[in-house]
Amino acid sequence: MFSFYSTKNQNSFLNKWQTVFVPGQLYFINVPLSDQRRLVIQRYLKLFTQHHLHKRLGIITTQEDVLLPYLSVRENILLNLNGSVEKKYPWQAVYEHEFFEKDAVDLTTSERFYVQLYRNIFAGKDVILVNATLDDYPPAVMRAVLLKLNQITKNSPVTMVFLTANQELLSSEREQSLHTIPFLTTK
Amino acid sequence: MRVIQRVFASLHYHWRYTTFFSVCAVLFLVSSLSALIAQAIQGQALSLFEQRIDIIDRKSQILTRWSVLRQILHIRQAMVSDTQNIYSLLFWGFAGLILVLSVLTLIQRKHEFSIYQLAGKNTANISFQFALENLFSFLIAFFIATIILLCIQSWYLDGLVQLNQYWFGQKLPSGLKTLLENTSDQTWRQFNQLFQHQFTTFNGHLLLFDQGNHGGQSLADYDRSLWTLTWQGSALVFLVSYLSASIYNWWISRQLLHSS
Repeated sequence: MFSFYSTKNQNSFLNKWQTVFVPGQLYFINVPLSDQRRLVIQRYLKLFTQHHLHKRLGIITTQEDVLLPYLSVRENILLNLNGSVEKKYPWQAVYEHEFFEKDAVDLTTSERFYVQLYRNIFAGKDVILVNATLDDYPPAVMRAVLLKLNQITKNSPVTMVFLTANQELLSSEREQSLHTIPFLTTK
Repeated sequence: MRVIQRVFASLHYHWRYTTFFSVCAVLFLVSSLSALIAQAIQGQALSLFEQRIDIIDRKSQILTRWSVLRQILHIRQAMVSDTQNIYSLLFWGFAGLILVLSVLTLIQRKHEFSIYQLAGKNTANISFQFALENLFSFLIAFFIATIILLCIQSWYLDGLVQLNQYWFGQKLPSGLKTLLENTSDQTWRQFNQLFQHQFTTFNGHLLLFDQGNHGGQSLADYDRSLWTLTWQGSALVFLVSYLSASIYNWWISRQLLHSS
């Protein structure tokens, strides 16, 4: 696809990125404080923007108001729909949640998480940064979320980078856990 | 078309802004249409006056001999130019109003635009949607105002003709006002010498003060004015909204990137 920017720099950065974060994998980075997590996300966004790749980066935040109140949950998910992604990953594949019938303002924390997740998937993002501790999620919901993330990364080349302070999660997923923050020199 | 669906959902949600914007659009439409119709009436009166002068004396030498005729010509030309100036003033005034309203609502809806950016929408897409919202508000207001004007068109056009007649009367200097009010004055006897050995369908009074025949006219006779307002108003609303939203969204994206 035509681009005004040098693709050489973009490819070089992507190659470096993919050696650390392999596509189609789920990673956990230990970032204890919420302010630190916000800062890390901002630094990664800046890094991608510097390489004109910010369109490929998706972000999931803990903000409560991430949905447009005048749109249905479904329309909020399909806000930035990418046609080619829809063909590969049909809408029906996620059509199992009861909260699609709810009003945008009535969603719980985990439901807002799913909305942001699907929104980024349908927007065709290659890398999704997740800022979540999952501490306030009931254990069953937390398991379901992890299962869904694993399922998505297996079926598509999306890289999920999970910034969390949840030590249980980090120890249970030891192979994919990182205790330093790649590409960022300072926290 | 998801964007159209989002535009109407947003218009419904921000109904106070939509209503206020539409009322401003209706006021602009009615006042600008009146200015354009007044321009057409004054233009027609000027051309009628020039045609009649031409019939009396093809070389138009009478204009140099009769100061009354020169005065009337200047008044009519000034009125055509005034209506054009009024329309320009209304147009740019409306542009300023849209800019102020857009900036105020953009600031108020800052968080909403941040959500669009978080969802990965780019500045051009968000600004396009905002510009479409304002454009649809304008077109809906335009449609409603046109329907209402069509329902009261005879009353509206008669009112405009009378207003133009009154305005013309106000513009006349005192000497010509006296001439307009007194039909048996000495000046008329002197002025009517102009028609000696001439066979015309008009007299001195009609030559000087006739505004033309506007009886039985409808809004359809001014369809060009309506089309002018539609495309000029729509282009203005879209451009001002799109540019202001683009700058504001660019600023939000910079802020998201640099705030700590």
